[in-house]
Amino acid sequence: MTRQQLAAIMKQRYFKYLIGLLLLMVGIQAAVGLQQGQSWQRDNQYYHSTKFVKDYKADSAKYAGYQDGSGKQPAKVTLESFQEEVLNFFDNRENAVPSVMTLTIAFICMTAGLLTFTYDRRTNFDAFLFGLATNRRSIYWAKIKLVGLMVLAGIVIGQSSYYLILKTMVHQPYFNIEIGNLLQHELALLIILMGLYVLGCFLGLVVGELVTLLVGAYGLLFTLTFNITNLEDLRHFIQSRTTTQYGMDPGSIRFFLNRILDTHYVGTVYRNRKYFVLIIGILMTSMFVLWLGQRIYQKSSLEHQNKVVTMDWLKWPLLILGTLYVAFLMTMNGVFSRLPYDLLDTHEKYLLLWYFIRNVVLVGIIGWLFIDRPWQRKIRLSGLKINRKIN
Amino acid sequence: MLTIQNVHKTIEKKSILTAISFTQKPGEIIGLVGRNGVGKSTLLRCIAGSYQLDDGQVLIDQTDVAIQPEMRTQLFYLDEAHLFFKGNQLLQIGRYYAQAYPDFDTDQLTDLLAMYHLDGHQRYQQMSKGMQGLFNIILAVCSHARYLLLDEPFDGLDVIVRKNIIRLLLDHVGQTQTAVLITSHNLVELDQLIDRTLILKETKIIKDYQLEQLRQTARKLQIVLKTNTIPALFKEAGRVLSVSGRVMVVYFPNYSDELDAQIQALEPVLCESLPITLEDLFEANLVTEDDYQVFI
Repeated sequence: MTRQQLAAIMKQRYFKYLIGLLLLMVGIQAAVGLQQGQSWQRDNQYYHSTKFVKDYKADSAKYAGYQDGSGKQPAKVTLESFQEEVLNFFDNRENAVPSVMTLTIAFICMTAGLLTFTYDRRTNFDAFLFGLATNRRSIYWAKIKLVGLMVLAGIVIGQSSYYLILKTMVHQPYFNIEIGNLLQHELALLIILMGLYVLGCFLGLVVGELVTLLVGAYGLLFTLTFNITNLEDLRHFIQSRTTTQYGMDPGSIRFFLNRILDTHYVGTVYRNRKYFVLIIGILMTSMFVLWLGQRIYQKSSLEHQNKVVTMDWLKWPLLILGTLYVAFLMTMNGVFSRLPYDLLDTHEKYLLLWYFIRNVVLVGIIGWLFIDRPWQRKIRLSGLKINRKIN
Repeated sequence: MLTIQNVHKTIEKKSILTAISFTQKPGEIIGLVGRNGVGKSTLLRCIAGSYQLDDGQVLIDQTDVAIQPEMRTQLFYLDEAHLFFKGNQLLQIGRYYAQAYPDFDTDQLTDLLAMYHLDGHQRYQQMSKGMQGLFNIILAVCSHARYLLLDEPFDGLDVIVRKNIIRLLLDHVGQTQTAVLITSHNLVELDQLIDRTLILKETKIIKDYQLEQLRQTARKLQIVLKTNTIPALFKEAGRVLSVSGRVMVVYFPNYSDELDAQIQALEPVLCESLPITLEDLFEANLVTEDDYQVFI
């Protein structure tokens, strides 16, 4: 079977869904761009209105105080400077906040990844694909390429639409971003979003049971946003010798990721080598996961298609990794333990370790019961002979 | 030639197929029979590539399909338990298979749909079970694959549809020398269709019968004895298929003059030969002692 034939089958199967995905991604980003542009125009109209200009000239200190917020006697600020400050679309704030739009697109990328393999498995299209005159590797890459390219197009076209709409609606000099900063910001965002797509593909490939997949995948996505901070905190905590050494690092990965996910952030996101390594690390890990996915797909067999784990050999690695992750989450977020902040403040490292180990055991038992499901095996004792029947 | 060589398959740590080997020549129709859950569908899925083999090979013209997947265009299999196209229109389904099979005949599909009064724009799931079964066979025929793997094609179909399917298959095999491997519990229908039968029991193929040869060597006798007792000879040399008072139906796989003399020595009141059916072979090979007690 030629690549063209395989691509034709894939197109026939997915075309309308992929167009829907593209329209959804681009539509959301364009709509947000339009909405933010309109909001900015309202602000612009207000801050340039004669009423506001008159008010400002009458009592500029009021507005300067609002701007400063420090409680000290505010410095005199000109009207133009004030307008620039409040109307500048982008800013260079330290505490960047991930935008809802980017988080929504991240959710869509992950979902597209999950569906890339889950949909065909649940709808039995895999049975047809595995009978085709081509190897599994080609099928795997054809799917990844087709859906991945559409996700990529959704991000690139969507982000371009978002910024183009803003560019046309937000007047100069308030559209205050340098093209270089915007490009490196977008490149980092692209790698993270495509990484989420790849992660979704991998999870969709190895977890066959729908409920487990949805809870596991979205649970992972949700907890990752908090856990990155915890991971950083934990490293500082372990490395510190006194309580004073422990604390939030403004150059941490959390701040970096927040800046990437914040569409209003103007500054350069590559402040240090750690950020660069993180992005390259995400890229390399995504490529490794893609390769691993290919190996798994080559070995997959349909009798396991709706099992919790579609490959027997992945059962225990996933259980162990999942257990460690959940135990870590529970320890660092105060579940099953004293508040971790107390432990961190008082530097009770061994107590934290004890809580971690205890959680590993507890979560491990729950995980084993869930994955191995011993109650589904009927064990019948007959004399000295043990007959085990598997449902 | 399709060669299944030493195929092993284990599912959930339970051995389903062990050392399955057989060959199928072009134009040959083989019936794969066995009791429920013995692994017939698993074997077809292994051949079709849905299931990975634990060991063994599937060869077409001595080429391993795992190494040369291009050979899969010679195999057609529809897993009715796992159909992806239930929500599709018949012509849309045809387009999928036209991409998958280079020799797929779209004109023939249109003609056959018209011949059997099937609307190409109708969705598969809106059709009756009988029409779905018929469409599956039409799809198989139009694929022009050299080996068709059919899993329970007569299951739940009425007699008219079954006859249509059999006619369609026999015409196709006659014209194109296509080989068909078919599983069915409808042994009466299968009997009219197949040249050869493979009997699957306890993970293995225990018997491989060429039906014409078998009918020359085996014999099914209806015997009426003077007493109700079943002679030891019947159990040693044959298989008692049914007992009703003094009337017994016994299947002898290797009937010889010597055996005939031994039976005559029992002085039966009546001893007549009956035609051997696939059902007899099924019972003779697959009915256990426990089932036998139930029959009596």
